[in-house]
Amino acid sequence: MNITNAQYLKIEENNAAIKVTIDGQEMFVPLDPVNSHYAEILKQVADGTITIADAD
Amino acid sequence: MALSKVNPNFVNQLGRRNLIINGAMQVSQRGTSSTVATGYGPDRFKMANGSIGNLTTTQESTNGPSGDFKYSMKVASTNTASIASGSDGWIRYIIETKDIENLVLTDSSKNITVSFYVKCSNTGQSSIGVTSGNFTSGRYVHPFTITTADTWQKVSFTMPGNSLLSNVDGDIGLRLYWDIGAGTTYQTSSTNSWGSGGTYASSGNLQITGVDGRYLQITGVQLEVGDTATPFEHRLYGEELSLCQRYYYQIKQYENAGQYTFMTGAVGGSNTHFIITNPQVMRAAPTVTYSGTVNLYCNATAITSPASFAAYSGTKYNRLQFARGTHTAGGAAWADIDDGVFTFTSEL
Repeated sequence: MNITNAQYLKIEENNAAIKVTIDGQEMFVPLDPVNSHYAEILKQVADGTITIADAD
Repeated sequence: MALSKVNPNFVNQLGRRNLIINGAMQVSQRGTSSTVATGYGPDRFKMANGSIGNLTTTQESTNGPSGDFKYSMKVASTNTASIASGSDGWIRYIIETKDIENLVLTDSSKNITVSFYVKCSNTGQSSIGVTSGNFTSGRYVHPFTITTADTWQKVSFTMPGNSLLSNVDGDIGLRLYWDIGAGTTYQTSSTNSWGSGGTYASSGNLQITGVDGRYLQITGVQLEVGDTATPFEHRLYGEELSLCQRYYYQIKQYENAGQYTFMTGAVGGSNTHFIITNPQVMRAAPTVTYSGTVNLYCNATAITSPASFAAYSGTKYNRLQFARGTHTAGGAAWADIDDGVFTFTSEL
């Protein structure tokens, strides 16, 4: 899974989702540990492959 | 007829026997044809090319097994290439842990029976592999022979439960793999018995991926508790669609002109907000994608080309929002989904 451009999105000052490009497609991934995209993002962060930018 | 004369074994096989969703390949929300490296065909059935070219995956609607099935899933190779040892070409189905956790499949005194119809461009050996949810702990590979090319045949086999099946991976309870291009890394010569995992195919199988023009086609997939492959349990389309929507659904314009799809919302903060209720409680909060365009209106005034889109999802509800531009907050908003498509995915 090729993951790029990961950035948190906030609702009322709390991180609530990640805007990210996965295999060339823009996606909005919830911070739900059983969501398979979020699990993969966390894995790649732990591996040091990607980082997640702070929300604007 | 007195109830006492009903065979209890027969009673046990009535209703909700099949643990596979969309085994008859009726539902195909993502479309009926795609040529990609990996992706879904009919709902819940995913294919991967094993890193060898693209495969054309279709929901076929003609020439199913005689008298029983209209739809099937076909995976066809479109190029020629060699399989590497680490190639993992497959059609895969995953059963959610919640759907099997009451069945005690870890009990070796219980049996599990799998049946399906298969058709292939060539004669020879192929296989289906059942693995533990985490893949690496346990596998049971059943080879079968394609006896006649381009002809449907039924395959069924029964395996005992096994303690290795306790090794689920979160919501991934059990995996089924039809081999279309497994490299030696994923092959085993120990078949028709439970063994340690990490493989899903038998040695010596037909190669589908990387052989231009070859195909494998399946339908009528059923997995049930017991030692008998009972007739396929047909479900109503609406039931099957609802079961599929626990894992994936789309919002898009209807295909026929004049049938509009609308969302209603409100203008607040710097965005227009639309609350979408999922048609089913989804397995997990879904990943959301948006493509194409929707026509947005705030207090009946159009917003063209909104500056941004974002989605915040949950298992029951989602918030979709577009930038409101210079429009005043506090009013009503609506959107006419023109050629826009929103997808909501919580697949395993």
